[in-house]
Amino acid sequence: MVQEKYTEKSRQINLSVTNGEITSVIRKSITKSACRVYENGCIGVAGKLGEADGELMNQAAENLKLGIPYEAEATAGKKRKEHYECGSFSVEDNDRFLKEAEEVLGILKKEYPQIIFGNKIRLAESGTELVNDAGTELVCSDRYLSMELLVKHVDSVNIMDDALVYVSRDFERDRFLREAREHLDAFLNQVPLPEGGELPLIVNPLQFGGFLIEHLDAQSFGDGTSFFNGKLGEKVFDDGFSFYVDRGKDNLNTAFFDVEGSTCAEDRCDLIRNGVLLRPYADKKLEKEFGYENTATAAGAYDSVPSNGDMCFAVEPSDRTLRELIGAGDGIYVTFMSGGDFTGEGDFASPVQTAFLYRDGRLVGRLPEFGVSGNIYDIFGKNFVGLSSDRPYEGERRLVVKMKLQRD
Amino acid sequence: MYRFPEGFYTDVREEKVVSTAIMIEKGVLKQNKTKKEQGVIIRLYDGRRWYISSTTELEKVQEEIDALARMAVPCPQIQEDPVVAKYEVNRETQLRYQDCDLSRVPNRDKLTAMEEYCKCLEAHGEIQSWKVYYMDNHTEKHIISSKGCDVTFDTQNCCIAPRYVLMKEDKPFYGRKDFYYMRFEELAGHVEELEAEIREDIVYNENAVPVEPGEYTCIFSPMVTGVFAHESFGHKSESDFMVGDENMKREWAIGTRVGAELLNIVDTGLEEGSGYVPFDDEGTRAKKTYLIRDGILSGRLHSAMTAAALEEQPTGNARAVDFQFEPIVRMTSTYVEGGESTKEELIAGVEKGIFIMDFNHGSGMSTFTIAPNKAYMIREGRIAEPVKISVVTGNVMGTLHEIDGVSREFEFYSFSLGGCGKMEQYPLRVGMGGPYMRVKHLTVQ
Repeated sequence: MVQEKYTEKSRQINLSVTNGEITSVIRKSITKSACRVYENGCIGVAGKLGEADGELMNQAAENLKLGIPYEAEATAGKKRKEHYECGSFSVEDNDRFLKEAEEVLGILKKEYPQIIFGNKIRLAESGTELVNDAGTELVCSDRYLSMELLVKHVDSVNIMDDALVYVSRDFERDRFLREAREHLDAFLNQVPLPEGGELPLIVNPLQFGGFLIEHLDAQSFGDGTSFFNGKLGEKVFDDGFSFYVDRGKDNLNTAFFDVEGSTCAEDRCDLIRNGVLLRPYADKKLEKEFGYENTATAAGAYDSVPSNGDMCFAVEPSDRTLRELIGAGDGIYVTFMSGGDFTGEGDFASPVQTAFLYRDGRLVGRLPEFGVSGNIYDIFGKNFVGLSSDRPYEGERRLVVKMKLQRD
Repeated sequence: MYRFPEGFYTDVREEKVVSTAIMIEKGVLKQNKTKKEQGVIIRLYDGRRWYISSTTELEKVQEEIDALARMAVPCPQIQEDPVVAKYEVNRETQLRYQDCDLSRVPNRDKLTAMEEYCKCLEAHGEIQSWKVYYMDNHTEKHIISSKGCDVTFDTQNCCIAPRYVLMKEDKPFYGRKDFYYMRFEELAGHVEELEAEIREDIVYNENAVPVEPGEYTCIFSPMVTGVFAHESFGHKSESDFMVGDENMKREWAIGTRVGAELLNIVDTGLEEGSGYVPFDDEGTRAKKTYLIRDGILSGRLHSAMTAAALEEQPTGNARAVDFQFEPIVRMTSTYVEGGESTKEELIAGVEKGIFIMDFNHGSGMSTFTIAPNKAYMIREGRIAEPVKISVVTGNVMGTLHEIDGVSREFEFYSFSLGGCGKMEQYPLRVGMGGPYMRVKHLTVQ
């Protein structure tokens, strides 16, 4: 029998913003604990809010009787601790964080009186710990700041028109304001859609990743329900496209281990390398059941039996900046594209609610609404341009793909 | 119970939740958990700003109240504050589900209830992979305020949700059926509905072809009408988006025509289902609110704060996903009221159009979207071949005027898995529904 404790801790200061004013200060301190017992190919799990105690472990042992199969071994003999620092603020320093947020909002409100800002500014601290009597002790904690401001023009009848997002471990006021000013100046400058049926779209790295994630699940491969059935080892996408499990330090709020305590060499595991489909992602159970490599992607609520599907994926960045990826032509920088979907054939279509014209390395104007469409093999195939090496907006790299535009 | 400090409005919301989640995948038990969770959120208001703390340390609630008071500035006239004046002082206990409390049903009975659905899925060789989820939840909330509110109420729901994958030439189709009820015994005896759904999905998957993109008249099923009401107009009725926004107040003045004359949209927390909440998370009693009546804007959804800001009345729509979150303005159960036509009459009036049967997800900003799971062409007034569609879109405000028929048949839906998302709060249980509804000029891709 192996006994294991799994703990998730979260502390936050959330500032609610209404009309550019901070209307509430919310403090959170939540601890979620689970005990797991592994014995004779079964697992017993019990969880509670707050710290684990002996009673919880007894309950987990009792839950072995539920007969939930778990053929894999508990992670043994792994020890590592990581703390990813946020240099700017701490959750203990409530007043300093509040003052900084008030000052930044004050500047934005003064410079952009025609814009209404709302939503949240958040300082979040998270910690995950997995300890068992097979000699494993894994601890990872993180702290980051996120500005998630919704933007609405005073003359607009929409609920919201746009968003100013900035997520980083190190909040730099000057950088945020520089980015915000470029974004908001462009927001206030309406421009027409550039000519051309197919144009480079600049989107967040996983904008089209959902379909890949759904169909690279080892469960789907094992069941024969994946869109990519029979294509392992084949080159299906562009040479420049690589997709991997990312448990590295750069991936905010992601521990270097999964909920089963699995890790990857160098904190990453390639699923697609240079367009070749190498492997699906799998947890321990799927490794055992189907023979796929464990990619440290077990997930689940703190008190669940772990199952495959942690959302910690990334596209491999290119060695070119966003400006270099777009080159001399125009790009379309998308901030809201919601509601679209892929069909079973891999065809994608969606409206683009908010987008900007990107020219000469800058956002220069706001575009009218339009639609986009494409097929998964084209999006990451002949239409794939690359992921930027830099993080020019929102504290994130940007993905560039060419898409077909539908105009009204 | 608590010492509420002078010069502030304070409320405390305590939640006790007992929930079960069981999952069987291809005949193998993968999850079987029951948990009891308890947490508290404390809000303190000084007339300028809210100070809020959520915690699982129940013994420290008084400490937290006092700590929040130290962060705030006392306001001797807090009782005259317009927001505080809007809070209802309800003192009531509404424990509707004590005699059928799901937390007292043994998990072995829940497993037994899943068996017939598992057998039904197993019997179909066309199904490549399947899962059956059982989920339930019994929640008891106690809200107490410095103004004198003291309400206790419970809500509960249970569901069995089969999910399955059909394959055709390496292309998957994801089938599903939800059985959602308030009482455990209501879950039994629906396997024939699952059987019918599977048979229809098999035929759909064998025959569906990609749609020819274009503009179509669409007929929505009651489920799709419900999501349309929720996404296209329900979110716009959440009045926190209007606070301090003079332009929105002008544009959304009560009495403005916003849709076709036959359109009536209602939100209410009183209907039993996934949107049932007899009191909201500020202790305000649930109400029935007409958002649109005969095509005219008739009401909107409020918390006490938004009601004060817009000089209207709270509607019982201040809701939070759980104790970790502050209440914000959210829908409860939102539906379009039925009309005079029949489903057949609506379809008969369409030369070339599309029947949207169900959906994977929807969204609504200036453009609303529905990503259908199953849809059929309508040709010469009859349902024709099945089609695969990525997304159906329309301008929110324009589309409400494009509705030219609603059926007298009406269905109400509760959703087993997932829910509504707003800002960081997801998933919130909501209900939705309506009649069959005909809408012109929608873009289909």
